[in-house]
Amino acid sequence: MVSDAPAPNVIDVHGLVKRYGRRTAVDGLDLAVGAGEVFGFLGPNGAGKTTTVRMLLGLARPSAGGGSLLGRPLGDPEARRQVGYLPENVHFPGWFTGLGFLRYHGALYGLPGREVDARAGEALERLGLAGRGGDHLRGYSHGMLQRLGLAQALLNRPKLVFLDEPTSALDPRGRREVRELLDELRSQGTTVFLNSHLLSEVERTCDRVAIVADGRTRYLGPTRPDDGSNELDVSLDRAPDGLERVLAGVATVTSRRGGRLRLRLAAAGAAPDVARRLIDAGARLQSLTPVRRELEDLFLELTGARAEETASEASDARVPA
Amino acid sequence: MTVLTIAGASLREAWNRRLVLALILVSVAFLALYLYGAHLLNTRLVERAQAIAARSGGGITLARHQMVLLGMYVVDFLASFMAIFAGVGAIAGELEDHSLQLVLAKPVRRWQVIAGKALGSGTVSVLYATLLSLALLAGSRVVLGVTPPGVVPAILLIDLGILVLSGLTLLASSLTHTLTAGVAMVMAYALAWTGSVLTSLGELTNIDVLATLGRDTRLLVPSDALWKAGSYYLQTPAMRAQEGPNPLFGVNAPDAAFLIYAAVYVLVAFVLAGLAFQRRDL
Repeated sequence: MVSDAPAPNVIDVHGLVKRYGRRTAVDGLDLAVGAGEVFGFLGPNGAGKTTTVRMLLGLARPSAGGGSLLGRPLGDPEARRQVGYLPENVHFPGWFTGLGFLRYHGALYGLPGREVDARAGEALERLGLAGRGGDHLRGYSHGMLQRLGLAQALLNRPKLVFLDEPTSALDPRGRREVRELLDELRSQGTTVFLNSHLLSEVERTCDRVAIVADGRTRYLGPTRPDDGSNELDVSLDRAPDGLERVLAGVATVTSRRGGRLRLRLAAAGAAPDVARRLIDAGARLQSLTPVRRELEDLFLELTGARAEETASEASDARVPA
Repeated sequence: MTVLTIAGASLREAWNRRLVLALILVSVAFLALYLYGAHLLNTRLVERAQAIAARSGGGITLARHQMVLLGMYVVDFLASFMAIFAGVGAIAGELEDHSLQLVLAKPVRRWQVIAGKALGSGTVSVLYATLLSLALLAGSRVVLGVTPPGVVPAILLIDLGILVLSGLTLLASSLTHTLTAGVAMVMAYALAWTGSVLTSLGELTNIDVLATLGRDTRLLVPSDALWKAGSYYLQTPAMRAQEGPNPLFGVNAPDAAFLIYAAVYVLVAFVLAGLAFQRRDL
């Protein structure tokens, strides 16, 4: 798997392996993420996504393989100075106030107190928690906690931020806000490593994705692969007589329902020829759209039946020490 | 700095989670019960002394000192379990709810987490043991009118015993789950106690094997032996002479070698906790 991201890579790992006893969670995984990318990390439950992120952050030690994070070897605490992280299902101690929680994590980044206060206030406001900083976390809703977790992950103005299902507890408005936040991060040049099951969200926000299954990288490339564009969806008011003959040599009809046709092009780039022939034959052409493969199709194809098999299993099982 | 931040958070957590409040309530209940008992005892003693025309005032003082000694035994017991319960979730519990992963994704080293937790839970436990001891001794002075001869060395030795349990608890919490660590620590406490009982039984019956077995156990978990060392200083020579070898209180002055051993033991426990945590996959 070769990366087409510009060097130097923010994340660069090769042949990453993690074994827990006899079970192999990650099995020779390769990954390269360039600076400033919004990167989607996808895979069915149990594919090894969480374990991979843990290894990248130095929380778990690879059984084999290795690489670098922000130019430093995996596990180097200094790299984490420029990293933000929001894991899924994290517990927020209820006795903290929102501001106290951010102050604590700011101090762990080694930020001076006044700086932390300024940034915490900013972050609370940015994430719609202005005025709630003094409340205890036990009074926060699920969505508020997730926003606070995001604020925590951005407190150090990281170069790279790992977000694990950051919108799972949010309503549609909250999701949109997070999407806007990701766009903002992208424009600031922050690299985002997004772990999500919401493929539609990933499609909207990510530049590139990796799809992993059984602990290996199955796909690493653009979020919307263009290799499906030799098909066209055509909508006509009235189909001309002898349609097959009209299109002979440029396209074949693969399905037809009234005036809606799905065509397979004989060669890439033949869409204008199709349009001309249809119009010349007297058809009233309403629309002509290249069929793009959805990320979901690619995901299901690459992860196959495994997705359904493992979906019912415990999510991303990890073997405790 | 990071160590102090983490220690500070554990202290604030102890305070905010009402752990301190629960402890104060239990401790106040215990102190009230103890002091009421001491008051009843004292009244009875005075009545008797008057009845037998105070033939020997020494007997009365002895009984008062024994009451204080028993009270301090309970103080040590409460503080021991406080140390275990304050520390058992320090690492394991926070790993289980993923909040420690959030901390360790920062530029924080694992030894800093262990040092911070050790400082936090150690401070809470030692502070509790010291304050409860002082409260009991002050109350006893008011109600019974006696103060044990060696208060300072006694409290220091009790604190050292509490630190032994604190260190061992942090080690257990770094190695395994909260529940497993808790069970292991209660068993360690029981082992230390059994060791003490064996030692005194061996000494009492002149069975060397028992005494040796007991002494070996105190090397394994020195907390109870440290209570016995501390209790030595809470007794007058007359009390020690009367008691002889017994399972609850020490009648021999602690030897320096053992005290040094115990201090090193605490350090080693914290270092081992650090090493165990360093190797653990999170």
